[in-house]
Amino acid sequence: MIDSAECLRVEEQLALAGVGALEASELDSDVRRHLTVCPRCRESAASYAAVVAVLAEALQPVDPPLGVRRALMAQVYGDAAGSPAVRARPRLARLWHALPVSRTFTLVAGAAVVAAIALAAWGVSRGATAQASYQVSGTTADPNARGTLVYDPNVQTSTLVVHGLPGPDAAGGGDHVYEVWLIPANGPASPAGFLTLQPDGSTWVAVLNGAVPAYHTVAVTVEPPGGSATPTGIEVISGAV
Amino acid sequence: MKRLPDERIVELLGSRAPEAIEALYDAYGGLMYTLVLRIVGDQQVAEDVLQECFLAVWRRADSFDAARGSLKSWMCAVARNRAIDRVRGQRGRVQLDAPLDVAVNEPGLSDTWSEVVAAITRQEIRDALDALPAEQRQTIELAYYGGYSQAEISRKMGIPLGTVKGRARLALERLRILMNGMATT
Repeated sequence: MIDSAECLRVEEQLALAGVGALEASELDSDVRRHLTVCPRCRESAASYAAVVAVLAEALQPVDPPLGVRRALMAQVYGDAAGSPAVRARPRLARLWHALPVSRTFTLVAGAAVVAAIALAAWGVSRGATAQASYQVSGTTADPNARGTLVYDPNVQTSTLVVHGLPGPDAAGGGDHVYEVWLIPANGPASPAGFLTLQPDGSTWVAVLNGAVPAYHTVAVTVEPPGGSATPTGIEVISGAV
Repeated sequence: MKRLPDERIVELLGSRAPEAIEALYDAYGGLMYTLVLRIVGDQQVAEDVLQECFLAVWRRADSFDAARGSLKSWMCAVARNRAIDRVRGQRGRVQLDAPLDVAVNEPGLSDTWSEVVAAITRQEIRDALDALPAEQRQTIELAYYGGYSQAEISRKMGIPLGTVKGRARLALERLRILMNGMATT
């Protein structure tokens, strides 16, 4: 026989626990026992849990800064380097995944490779200081995106060439732009330019402001027309410098 | 933005693939950060707590049990508990699934309420909260979004503990009726 006064007491405890207002020491030990014999309170428990589960969604969404994701994934990939799941991967794939920010071993789209090689050859032919080349890759938002960042110290200019990003309808067509950021090891991201779509319809290029070697990371985010002073949109490209 | 389905994320978590955390973050990081920031009230602390949440999930990737609820609910519970721990110290706290696991292990009940909440929009959740009597809404807001204990709510509102309990129960009862009605219309 279920005592309705007992049900009320249990439901009050369940409600308090559900919204996080009950300390562990305050939970009556007989609540669990009561739940095993009382269908009404089990139903209440399930419904309270369901209601509480959606309360977070009533809040006005706030996006975390991009650096949080980057710092987190650096730790996770660092942790994972020795795990069985990662060790089982082919070597190149393992190196790819072990370097979430740089992903140095990305297979770069042909045109980007050609562009990088051409720029490098141009620099060598001038007998100048060697250029530096960095691979960048898509985040999980655009995992097929690949690219290369080439820095020429002789003219202190960097060129970012990217393939695999969605076309003008998705970004750069008026509703959004792809904005490039240079990010130091400690400190805020600096806006460095915008990717523009080339006549071939698949290659995106940006000539960047800023001395790339002074930074830690290059990233691309989707921003409103005209760009943003700080990153606000989805990160679609990332690479270590 | 492409998002992996929850089922695939759970598979990746099970195989200890780091991509699971990337996918989880992209799916629920924003929601969790919003909740954590509301509770801790400081951007830097919220960022730290958010990272702690995902690292905890990564290091205990096998602790998610789909039979107990959705991935989103689980991640929100992790975020809320971590945030409350941060603002209130490491005192013992009842986690959502501790007293309720007997109930949510029953697939029939769990499925019923999963369907109800899946059909609810953000605006409808806000409408339901707005429809509560002010004292019930304030109780829920102090507890869930503010991280206050029943004793703290009692002091803050100047009401007996028993009244706090009663208001919390009545608020959740009212919310479930409102949300159930919204989901079925």
